[in-house]
Amino acid sequence: MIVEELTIDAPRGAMKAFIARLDSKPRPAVIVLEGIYGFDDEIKRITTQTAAAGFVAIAIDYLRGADPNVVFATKDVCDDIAATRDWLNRQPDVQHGKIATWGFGFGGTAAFLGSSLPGLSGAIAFYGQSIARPLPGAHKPALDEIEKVRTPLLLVFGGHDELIGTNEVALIRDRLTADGATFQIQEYPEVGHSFFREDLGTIATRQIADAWDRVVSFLRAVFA
Amino acid sequence: MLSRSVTIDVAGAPMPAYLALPTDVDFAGKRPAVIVLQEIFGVNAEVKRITDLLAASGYVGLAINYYHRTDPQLNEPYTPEGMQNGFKAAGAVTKASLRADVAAAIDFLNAQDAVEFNHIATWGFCFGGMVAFVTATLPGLSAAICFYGGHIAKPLPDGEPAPIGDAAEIRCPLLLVYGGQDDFIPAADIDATRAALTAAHKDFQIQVYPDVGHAFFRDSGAAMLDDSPDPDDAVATAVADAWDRVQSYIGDHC
Repeated sequence: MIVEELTIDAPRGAMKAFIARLDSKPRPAVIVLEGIYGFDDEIKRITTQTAAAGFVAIAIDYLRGADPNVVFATKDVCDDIAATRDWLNRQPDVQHGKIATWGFGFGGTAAFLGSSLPGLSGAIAFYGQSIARPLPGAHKPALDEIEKVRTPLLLVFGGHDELIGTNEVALIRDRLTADGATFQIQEYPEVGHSFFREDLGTIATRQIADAWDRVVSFLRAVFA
Repeated sequence: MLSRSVTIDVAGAPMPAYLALPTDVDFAGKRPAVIVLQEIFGVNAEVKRITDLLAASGYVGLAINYYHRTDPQLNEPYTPEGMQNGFKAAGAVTKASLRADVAAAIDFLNAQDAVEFNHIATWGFCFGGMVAFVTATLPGLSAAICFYGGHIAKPLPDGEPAPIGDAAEIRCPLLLVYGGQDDFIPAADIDATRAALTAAHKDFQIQVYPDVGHAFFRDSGAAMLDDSPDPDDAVATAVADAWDRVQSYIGDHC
């Protein structure tokens, strides 16, 4: 495993990043998007785990230490994802054009917003809040912020998520169906927000294992 | 030692399992647990013996029947017919089904008062040695012990690629034990396993006992209790040494 810390230039300034890959063989890439916990060891662990499954994985600190509960601007988030996409496309160990996103919490919302960008193969949103309710500092939910979902989506939710109502999941499903988007929604009734994190001491091995299988299957399918 | 049959829910499917608890469990607080992964014969008397042994040694032991989708009650003797039935059942498992089963076992153990959270190891034999290898990619495990795992370096019976291809995804330290005279596992398979784990920079130990064959640890009750096995008895000395290594490995990692 090769891991490296670097910075990526984006329209609103440099952004910290953490990249992991098995070797220098060209592979599809996954942009990992942090949530409220920020650019911490757990997001880097998930990035390394993604790399172990055969992808170039890169976590970006697009929040730059700011609290996403205050302002979460669609343009800023999309600019950062686009800058990372462009950077990845210039790397010799990335299969050109084969890039997906995977985000957690607000990062799930970021992945959803990023699905409106060209040049991406897929987006995975784990318990993304504000997809169906107004974004912090904005008047519209993510569903209404973007013109069009352009990639297949995998959306994962916990039934006990205190930040996302089951009615919101239903609304997301209805909207994506009406819009003709390609998407999968996976709900785990027993777990809550952030269930994929392993540093919270909760018992969700089954859901973590199942969700991980779905992520890898989704990525292999969209990159095929 | 207290033992009982339990049922563990795996995404709606009931998985039978055999749970063994140390008798001092009420007094000694939480302790590590070991998930025992059967050979191809089901959760039979030998698998229960190993599970009981772990409980007698102070761990919570749990033997799961990872054939539960097709053969929930499989319990075969060590006969050619038993092996045939076992192989038939083994053909129906997948890497995904095995990971789902062990993940459910981890969650079950973590919910037990007697178990220290996420201080859990796996210990598999023969086909189960492969299961321990395949499921070492799961979160929540502290160690995986693979005794003469047959399909680690060759495809699964269902045709899925050899588990050594997933070496990079392994998340816990591994102890792999083999007999040098194993008719089912050539030395080349052990070399390939070592090479894959080395290339993936994994924490592992491989122990080969040159003079013993496949399944040397089976029915080893008397040898294990023997503090000074006959040095001319290759199986007895391998059993004694292997059991020491297992206990040390669990002690060091859980």
